[in-house]
Amino acid sequence: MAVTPSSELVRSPSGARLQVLTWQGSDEQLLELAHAGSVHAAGRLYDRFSKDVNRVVFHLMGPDSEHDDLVQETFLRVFRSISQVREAAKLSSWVVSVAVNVALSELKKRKYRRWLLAEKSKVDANEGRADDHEARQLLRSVFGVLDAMPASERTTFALRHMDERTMNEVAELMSVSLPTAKRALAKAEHRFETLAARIDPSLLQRFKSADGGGEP
Amino acid sequence: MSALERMAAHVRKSMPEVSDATQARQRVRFVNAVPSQHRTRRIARVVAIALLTATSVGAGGLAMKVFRGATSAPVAAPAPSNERWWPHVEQHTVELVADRGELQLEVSSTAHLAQSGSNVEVVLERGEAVSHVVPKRGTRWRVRAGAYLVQAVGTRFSVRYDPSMSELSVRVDEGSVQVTGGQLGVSSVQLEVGEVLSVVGTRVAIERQGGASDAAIAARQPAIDSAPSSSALSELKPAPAQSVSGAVKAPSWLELQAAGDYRGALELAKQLGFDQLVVTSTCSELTELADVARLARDSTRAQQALLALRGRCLSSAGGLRAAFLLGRLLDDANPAQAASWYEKYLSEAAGDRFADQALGRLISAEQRAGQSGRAKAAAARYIRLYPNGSYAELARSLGEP
Repeated sequence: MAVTPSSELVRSPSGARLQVLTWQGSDEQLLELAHAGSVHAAGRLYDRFSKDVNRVVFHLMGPDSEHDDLVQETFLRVFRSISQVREAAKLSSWVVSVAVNVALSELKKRKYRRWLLAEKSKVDANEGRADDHEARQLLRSVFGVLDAMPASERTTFALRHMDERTMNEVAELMSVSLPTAKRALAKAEHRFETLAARIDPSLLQRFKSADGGGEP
Repeated sequence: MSALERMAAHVRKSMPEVSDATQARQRVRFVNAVPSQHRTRRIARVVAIALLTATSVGAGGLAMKVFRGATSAPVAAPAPSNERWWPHVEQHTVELVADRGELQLEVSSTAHLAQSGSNVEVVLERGEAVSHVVPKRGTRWRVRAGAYLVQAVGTRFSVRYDPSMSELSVRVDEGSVQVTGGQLGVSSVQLEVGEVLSVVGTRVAIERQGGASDAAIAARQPAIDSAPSSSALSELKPAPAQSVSGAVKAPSWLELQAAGDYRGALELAKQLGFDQLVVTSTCSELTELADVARLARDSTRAQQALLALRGRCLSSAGGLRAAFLLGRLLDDANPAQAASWYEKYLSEAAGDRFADQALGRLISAEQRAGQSGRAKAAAARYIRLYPNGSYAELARSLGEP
């Protein structure tokens, strides 16, 4: 019979499974496309920055039940404001800064909601590497402690330690001077250690060994 | 390295990875949200300006004029260098595309060519494109026209597309092509030399030049007839041209699934022939199909797809996980059978991400099946492997006298 379903064609007629023609152009070309108001720009923005945005959101928020919503909000804000970006060299760091701002404002909202409505934490460690029980436990503990920290301290801490940003990058992403960022990080680390000792005393203990190194 | 740094390194390793399916879902959601958001914001902004102007100047007519301006078509984007863009072809144009072939565009066509490695995609937004493709192994050349996709199988063919009339015509001069999308849904029509596929609105016809080939047309008719019914057709119908640069989408069941519309995806799959899809789908598609049926709460079809996965794709992640999902499906109605699926899953995929859940559910299923000895054994195993897991409490309660 001449008519058969074709997996290859089914997979990529328009968008969802379009893995064949991923964006390989430069950021200059992407900006040009976005500034011209092309309808193709959205998909390409996603293709170009999907990994970066997902990574930053994971590192700042942990495995979160609203992860996809935060990624979506980041891309919508990026698309809405991309006309402000003129230098392609800054596009990548600007997209990351949008993701950081989205995460930061979400954390602040959650603080208020938790305070006003006694809302529960949205850490969903089952979204982690569920085959590894220890990994899930670790995520639950770490983000449980981070949840108890003020939003900006938590973000500074997560950018430096989880996302492995340099102090200059942390300062830029948090829109503060380098000395301020350093002071904020020291404060955040101290708070993390204090809270961890109270909430989950074994958490940091597991990473301290007699000789000061080694696996938990 | 400090304890904090060591802890952070472990956290990074423990973070989930973003799967292809998640990315596809996020992409569809974002891309679908953009045009409406863009338009809404633009109209809102223009209305606000118009009202302000009308109030301050007292010129209501001007407000209407500004508002009408908001709906004009966006300007076609310039082409990045790895792509080419023809907003409006003014004379017959011949383009050589790397060493892959030749693309001719007729006057008044609007097209866009994207090349990525050995893959070439021509987006024909209106007009006529003639492709002469040099076939090569592992390479792909296709023309997208609105909701339709024409895949070259080493060939010379032309595609004519008029979005305002929802008209598509594909003529093959050499070799063959496969056409899919639009009124054809996820089925594809293979066209041979001398055949012309015409789609006008919802009417689909295949003609052989120099006299219709009854056999060829008859062979294609059943699948075209079995294409989506009128309700689904209205979804698949190519929308009128939204803009010069707006390619029109035709959702396949996979796209509906990626967008979270499981019922819609299942309906479409049923209209296309669920049984046939189960037989002809690749392992990854079959996994998606099973998910669609499961999440649309069609237990019978979900079991059918999962059993096919076990039969055909046991070495894939979907095939291994099928045993767990079969257990889940049977959990309420037949706990004994569910327990045997959980056992099978645990024996085949002990390290998989649902092993914890499978073992926990096994305790419960064995209990409900009246197998208290087996339930206790499973509980002991659970406590040993997952002392802080979500079923630990249940497991411990069984261990107590």
